[in-house]
Amino acid sequence: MSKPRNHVDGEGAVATPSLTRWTELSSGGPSSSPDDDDIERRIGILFEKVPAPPLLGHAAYGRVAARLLDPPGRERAISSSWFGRLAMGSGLGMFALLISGGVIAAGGVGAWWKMAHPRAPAPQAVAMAGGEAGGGVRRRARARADRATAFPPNLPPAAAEPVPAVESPPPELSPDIAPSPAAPPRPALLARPRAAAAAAPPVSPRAGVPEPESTELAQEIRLLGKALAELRQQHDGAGALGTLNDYLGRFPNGTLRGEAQRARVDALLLLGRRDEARRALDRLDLEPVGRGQELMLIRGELRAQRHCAGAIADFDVVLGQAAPPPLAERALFGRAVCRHQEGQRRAAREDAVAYLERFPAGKFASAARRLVAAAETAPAQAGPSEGR
Amino acid sequence: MPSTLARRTGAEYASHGVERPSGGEPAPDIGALYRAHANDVARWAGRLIGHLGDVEDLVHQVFIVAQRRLPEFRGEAKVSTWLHGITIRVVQEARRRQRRWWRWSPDDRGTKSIDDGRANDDCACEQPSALELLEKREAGRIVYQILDQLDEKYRTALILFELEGLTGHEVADLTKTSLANVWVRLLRGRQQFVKRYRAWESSSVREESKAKAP
Repeated sequence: MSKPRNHVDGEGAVATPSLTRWTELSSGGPSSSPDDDDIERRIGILFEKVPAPPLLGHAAYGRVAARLLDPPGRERAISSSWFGRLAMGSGLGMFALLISGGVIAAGGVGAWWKMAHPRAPAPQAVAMAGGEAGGGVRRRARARADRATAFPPNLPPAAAEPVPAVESPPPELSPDIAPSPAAPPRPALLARPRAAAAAAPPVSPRAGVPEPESTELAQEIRLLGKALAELRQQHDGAGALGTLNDYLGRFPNGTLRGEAQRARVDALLLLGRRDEARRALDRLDLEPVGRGQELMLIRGELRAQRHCAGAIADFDVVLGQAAPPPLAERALFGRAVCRHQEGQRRAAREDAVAYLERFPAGKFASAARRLVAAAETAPAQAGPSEGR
Repeated sequence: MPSTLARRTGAEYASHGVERPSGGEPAPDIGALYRAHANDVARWAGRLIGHLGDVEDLVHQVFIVAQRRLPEFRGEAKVSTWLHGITIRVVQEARRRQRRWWRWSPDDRGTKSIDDGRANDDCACEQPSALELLEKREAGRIVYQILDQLDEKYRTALILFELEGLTGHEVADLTKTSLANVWVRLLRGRQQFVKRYRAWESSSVREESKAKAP
């Protein structure tokens, strides 16, 4: 083990000791004692290989900025201490007690009223009561129906010839914008609608700290937040697109420009304007990681509608980057279909078989089986790039 | 890297777009702080939390604390030093919470890696080759696996000194302890690390020979 060495300054006084870093030992620095069996050098080599921590990505940067500039102030202040948690728990308990007491009391009064007034209520009152009671259910059902119309299920077609994944609508392919009642609320940028937040008075303006609304980044966040609320909470594609176009016009070189461009693609997909979405994606410089990977997959699926060669390139990139299973599933199936359409039957079959091995109960499993069968019944129609 | 943690000058504030807080002037704007230091904080937090952390969440927590403490900040240290100190305490608290959680749900431990953390998801950093990536990932996993077994103060000192490359003085300033204490922590931390690394090496050799055996 390297011992700390005392540095002696000019006057003979002992200054501060210093250790030789393990990483310096690995690069030929002063060697450690032999009884350590070179272990420190090996540890140094290991430490040198430890990857640098990642920077905040564009989206994460924007999410944190939005949470900072629009914090749920009071809740956070209370929940930051055990006392606050205790107080909140007690408050909830009291509230529950009050509610249950109220319900019991109302039940008692109702029973007494029925006994005292055994008359049928007026039809209008019944209708109104029914309307009130059923309104929420109907609204929810209508919302579900709307969502179902906007996002039809992404099922493989039963036709003999498999169809590219783009025939299933892209919004479903993009889990970020696909509304799911069971999905947990997105925590970051838009925990609550920006419009409402902007209308509300500031929660706790800090004395001496300039208002965050005054900074350009804050204005960007407000505008982008509004657009994302329209997109992901209200599912208002047209409104979101308008706001995003406004953002991109006002901040052509804004900090959150990339996030806005990606959201614009989502809005176009929500509106069913797939060609425009594809063109927007073509203009984006996509990195094959995270959200960029998903957008690359969507671009591949959109390209597959026109020509499969470009789509295969996108699918290749996605599959080459260890995509998460839901993306890999779509990319693998999409590539199989595209290869089939390009006449690369053997490669298409390999992809379909790989798909079935990896996702035997996947949502494209039946289509993949048909693809395998089709490739087997029509062999030797190799295209020019069959060897790929 | 500066050898000492000098007091921040007016020029340094100006270079980060941060107004100097002392002398009755307005405190730094949290937006400017965030713009200037978000990536530094993410790097420090990522380094300190290792392979089990959610860096985005940690960055958020650090700036919440910074926002709360801004009125108290008098410019006695660099803004970056002040934020680094907050990051260290926030990460230590997050690790304490993690340990409490693991006590009840041990299955969660190790299921999340830094490579599937959100902050990394949209990282636009340069991609190394697959082999390099694999080696780096494995090295990071082993190092943090051993570091996580150490006492918190030894772990923090080792990360700051060995991985971040800070000097003893800087580690002492950041962890609010004496320089002598830093050396003690580093020495003990190193001893414990070496001991555990030996154990890991011998166990991996055993596993390797077992795998080779028919």
